[in-house]
Amino acid sequence: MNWTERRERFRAILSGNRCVHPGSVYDAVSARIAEDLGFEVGMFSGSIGSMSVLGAPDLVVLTLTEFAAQAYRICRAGNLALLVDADHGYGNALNVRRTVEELETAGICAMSIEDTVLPRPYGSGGKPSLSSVEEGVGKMRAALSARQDKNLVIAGRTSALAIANLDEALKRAKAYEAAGVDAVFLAGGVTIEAVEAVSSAIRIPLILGGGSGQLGDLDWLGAHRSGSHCRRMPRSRLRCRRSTTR
Amino acid sequence: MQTHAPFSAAVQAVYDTLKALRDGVAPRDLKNIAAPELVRRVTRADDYQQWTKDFLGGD
Repeated sequence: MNWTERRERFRAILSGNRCVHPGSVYDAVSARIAEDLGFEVGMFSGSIGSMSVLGAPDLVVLTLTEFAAQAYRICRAGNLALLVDADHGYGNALNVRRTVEELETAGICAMSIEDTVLPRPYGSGGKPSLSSVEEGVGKMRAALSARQDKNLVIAGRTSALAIANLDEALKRAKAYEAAGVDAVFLAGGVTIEAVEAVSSAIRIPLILGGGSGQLGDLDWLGAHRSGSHCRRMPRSRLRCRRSTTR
Repeated sequence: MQTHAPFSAAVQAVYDTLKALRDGVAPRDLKNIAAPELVRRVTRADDYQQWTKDFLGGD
């Protein structure tokens, strides 16, 4: 199958002037429904993959092979541009390369690679932690080096707002931008103030996961900041935003 | 065999939910969403919680 057209479509959304909510999809039928209803982007996450494929909670027990196979089933069902949450890339930077190869082959348009330490390490007490910035940058560089279709979007995802603080999120957003990713994905702890700060610090688009109130209002997001544009993509509450002011 | 109505019911539920979201309904206002307890039950979350205690050094 040819995935180029939908990847170009996704790129156009990402570089455009509006925010969009992606539809949360998890199989062929849900993807077709989302496409028929007019969603421009679908979102397939690791958590939903775990529940739909394994009937298991979001504890990273789903394998890359299982995730990529389900992503392919979603992609082949229609023409929906699919964004996937590839968790931590299923291992270290070498595993990230393999993740990109498999998901690119599956037909997705975009993926996020995150810097949370996954799966849960022994003795952590359930408290999430972040990998080092250096490891995160290495994963982003590995992801970028592995993609063959330059239209495939690689987003650096961080939960630093939820796990650490705004300064840490800013540091990571800047580092991932410098590594060459196409977008930064903020997950957890997202506030208007944080969005403003991060979008002012980087030039590439922001994808937002979480947030409430005005952060769920596409019109508000689009109009709020003069000189900036936001585009967002949802899954229950995922938004993407891009600053074009710099 | 009592038909494959569960599949059709799921299709309708997914359609209704995605349509509502597409129409701008806030996620918190969605109807007929499974309760967290039901999701926990069908994903066997309690089993995983117990295995976490048993094999990962605590809660």
